[in-house]
Amino acid sequence: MTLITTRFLLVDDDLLNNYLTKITLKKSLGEVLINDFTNPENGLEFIRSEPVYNPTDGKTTLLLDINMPILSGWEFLEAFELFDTSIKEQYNIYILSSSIDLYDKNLAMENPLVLDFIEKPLNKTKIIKIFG
Amino acid sequence: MNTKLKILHLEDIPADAEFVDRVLKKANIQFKTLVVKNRTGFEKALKEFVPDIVLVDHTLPSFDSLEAINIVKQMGINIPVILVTSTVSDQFAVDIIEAGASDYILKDRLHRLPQAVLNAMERNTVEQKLKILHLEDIPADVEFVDRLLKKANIKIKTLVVDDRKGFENALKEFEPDIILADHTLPSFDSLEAINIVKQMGINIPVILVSATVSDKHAAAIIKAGALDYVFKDRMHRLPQAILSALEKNRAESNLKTIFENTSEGFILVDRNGIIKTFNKTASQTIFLNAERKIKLGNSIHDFIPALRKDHNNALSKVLKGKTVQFDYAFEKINGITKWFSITINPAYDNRDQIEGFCITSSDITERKKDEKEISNYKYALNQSSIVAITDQKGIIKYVNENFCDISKYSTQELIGQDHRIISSGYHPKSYIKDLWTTIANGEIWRGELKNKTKDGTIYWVDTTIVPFLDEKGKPHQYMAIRSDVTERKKVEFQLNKSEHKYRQIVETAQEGIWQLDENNSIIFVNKKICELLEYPEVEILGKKPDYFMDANGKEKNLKALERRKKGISENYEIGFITKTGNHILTSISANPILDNSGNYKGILGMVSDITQKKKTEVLLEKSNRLALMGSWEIDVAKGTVFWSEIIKEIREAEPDFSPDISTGVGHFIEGSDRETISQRLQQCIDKGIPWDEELQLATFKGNLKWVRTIGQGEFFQGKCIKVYGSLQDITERKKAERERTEMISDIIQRNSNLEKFSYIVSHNLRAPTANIIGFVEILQNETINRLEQKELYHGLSKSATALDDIIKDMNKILRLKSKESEEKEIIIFSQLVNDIKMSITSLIQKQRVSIEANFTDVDQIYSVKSYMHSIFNNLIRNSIKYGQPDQPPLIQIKSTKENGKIIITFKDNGLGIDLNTQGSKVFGLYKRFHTHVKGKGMGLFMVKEQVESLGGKITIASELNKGTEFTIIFQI
Repeated sequence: MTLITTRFLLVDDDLLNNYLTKITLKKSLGEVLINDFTNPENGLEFIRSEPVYNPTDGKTTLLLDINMPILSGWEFLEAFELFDTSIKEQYNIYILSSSIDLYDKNLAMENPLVLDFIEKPLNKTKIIKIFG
Repeated sequence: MNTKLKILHLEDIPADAEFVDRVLKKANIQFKTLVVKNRTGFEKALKEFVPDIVLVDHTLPSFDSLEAINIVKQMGINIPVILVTSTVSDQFAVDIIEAGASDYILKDRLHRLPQAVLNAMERNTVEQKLKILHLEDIPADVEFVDRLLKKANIKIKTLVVDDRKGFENALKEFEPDIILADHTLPSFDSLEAINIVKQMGINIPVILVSATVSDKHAAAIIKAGALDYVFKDRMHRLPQAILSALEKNRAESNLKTIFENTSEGFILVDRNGIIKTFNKTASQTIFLNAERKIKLGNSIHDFIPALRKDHNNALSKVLKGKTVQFDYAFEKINGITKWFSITINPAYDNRDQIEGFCITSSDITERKKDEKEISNYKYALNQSSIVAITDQKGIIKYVNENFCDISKYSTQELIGQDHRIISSGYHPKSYIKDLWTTIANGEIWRGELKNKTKDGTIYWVDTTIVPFLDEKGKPHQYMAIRSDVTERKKVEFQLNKSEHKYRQIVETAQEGIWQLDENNSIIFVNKKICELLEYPEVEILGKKPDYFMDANGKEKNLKALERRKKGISENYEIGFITKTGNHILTSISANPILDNSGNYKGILGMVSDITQKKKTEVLLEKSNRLALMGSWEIDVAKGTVFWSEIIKEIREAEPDFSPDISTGVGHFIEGSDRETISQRLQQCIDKGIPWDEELQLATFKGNLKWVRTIGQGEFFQGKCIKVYGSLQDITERKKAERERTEMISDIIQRNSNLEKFSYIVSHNLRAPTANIIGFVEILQNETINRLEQKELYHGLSKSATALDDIIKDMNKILRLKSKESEEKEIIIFSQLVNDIKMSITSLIQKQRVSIEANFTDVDQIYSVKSYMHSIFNNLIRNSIKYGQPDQPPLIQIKSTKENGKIIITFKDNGLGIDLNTQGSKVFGLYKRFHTHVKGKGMGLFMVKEQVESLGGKITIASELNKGTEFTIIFQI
């Protein structure tokens, strides 16, 4: 784990969760760069404009919620799929969901864009497990 | 006679004995009778009864009259015996008179009996004392004769005369039994005396008693009529001569009686045909010549002209000592023909020289008549029949021409042959044995016999065999009278064959067949009937059919019988009870039998067992009824329609309703149903396309029913002649289907609800929970500053609140889903809207909301108030919440009533939703389409749930940035 790589993108309509995730990441990883979006469309827009925002020193970790108005996490991924590879390869995507439904988990694991399914809440143990 | 005359009567026929008694009583004869029947009784009676006279029947079973006379003689009893008989031949009459009978009486001439009895008695009594008229002039000779006779134990009474006058007087007054005449008397001689006796017509024996007599003189005396002559020097011969003479005289006298009284005529003629003597019958017989009486000295040729014609032949034969016999017919003046049998015998003189002819004649007119008749019969028989006569062993003695013709044998070939010569060997032994037993017993046998001709061909004869019986009643010959029935037999055989054929057909028929006579009695049944009824044929024949019928059948049969008598044929169903008690149902096809004149002669019935068929029919009817399925048929050519009972029931028509095509089709519901059925029917008729459709029709009572209609055409020569099919009431099934569909959709709904619930649990309910856990973890484990701590507690609190909100929502939803139904009531729409406006007054003012409500068409609904309030409230609040930012919300609410439905529309001018992308989520729980305002995505979900739980539907129409319109439809 290097500091360089610690840049996060949160897409979740739940403000409280975003706050919780941010503080947890900060407490676990120290200085991290975090962008969070409650409207998934805004999140997609941010990614499309990656060259503008994204630093060149490493990949961004995207923590994506499933259950959101307007666009669900799955719809978000469908839109993401359409982006250029150059953009897509900039992201490591994790589903961060409160769902305890196996269906959701399986769906996440089957999606080639998704690295893993993380059950809410995100805590230190899970961060260590994922990021080493 | 002082005492009663004791009569011993030998007679085996009581009626005859009684008749004899009557005749004697009528003649005033005092008598008593003992009737005996046999030899033993006769002998006993002779000893014990001591009769004065015996009457004897000629033929008795055990012995005859001749024997009876001999018994009397042997016992030394001197009583007269009179023969009483029904028939007697002349010869026999002579025989018994000679044997000693006093007289004979024919039973049909019994009136003669009393006199005969009296005569016999008298003669017998007189015999006791012989009255002798003695013509003698020497008293010593008279005395000598008397002494001689007394010595010979002959009781005598003598009258002595010595002259002519005295002799003549004595003949008249003394009535002597015998005359002894001396040859030489002073005044006249013995020859004269004999002539006097003759002249006076007195039949008394005369014995000449003479000292000397020349041969010539003796001959002359005998010729004159003296019976004997005794020389005086040989007087010891006299008693015997007297007895002999008396005996001879009595016999002669008796013969004379017979001669005079016999039913045969006697005529004695000399060689020249001159009549010398004749008897009474001959003289009385009118046959000879109606105009002349026969007289001595007449020529016989005048009386029997045939003799003249036939003189040379007949009489010359007789002159040669032969007997000639011929039948001769005499025609009387009045035209009656009398037949006589004439017999001519030669008459001999003392020297056995033929001195003439003895002609006897007997009246055979009756016999001739009989003979004629018999010959007629015989002729007729010979003409008509095949006749043969055999002896008792079956040897042929006579055959007629017909017999020869049919058997192809000649008479010569047949006579003397065993009758079996024509046997065909066809008949069983028992049959022939029966024939022989019958005729050997003297009875007539009748039957048909199959015989064989000489060349081996077969012929059939209808045969009657008559046995001819001898005196003992035993058959001594048989006459077989036959008629040829070969042709009839052939026809019969053919008939039998064809009858056999029909019989076979009838017997093997799978239908029961029976025939009744005009009295309704069963006279024929075939095997099948017996099988059906389980009775043997003998128990059915002669009974009336209703004997076998069930109660209903008997009643039906009674009426059917009347129709049959009117000549009506028909088919109907009748139930029978079999011998073993089974109940069977039959279909009877009954036809009256009429004779040529059209008179009712009975019934021919075909009986089929339809028990199984009926069972199947009933079963079909039952199952059809269960399936509510009826059948129908359209006769395309005639345009007629048939509906089964069940169809009428399905369509709720009257049982006697006569359907037609227009009602059949017209009752289907207007629109697609009726169009479909019309089209299908037309296609079927035109192209033969069958159909199977489920459609709705209205019954005669206006009830709607779902039916499955199946139809098919029947074609003849390419043309549809009939359309038939079924109609099944599937209303219940359809209802059930609908219910099932509803149930399935309900289950799908519940399942989807459960899925939603699971989603809600894993996302919405889990989300705040996860947050809480997250906040708590940080609070517990991380070193945090005061600001962080404050923010974390704030987050923890918010998460807990969110969790609580969701739990409350869940409760709300779950309560709704459990359909914890609330009481329905009348809800006034306008009032409902006003209440909601009141509750959100500040919001309305702040957002400058306008609500236009139009409830003029319908302003009320019978429903659950809390639900209706929630629905209206949510929709109004939604419209306000998602209004366009630059435009005050306008909400238009309208209610209409249409086809039993209440339709409520909510229209706004808000943001709208892109239904193309979001349509499926509109009514989902926790679905939100806008992020600029707060919302949990709960409202529309609740609205939909509530509308549906009230049995309504909600739909949405929307356009982005133009507005949204919700339409709610409730069934009343």
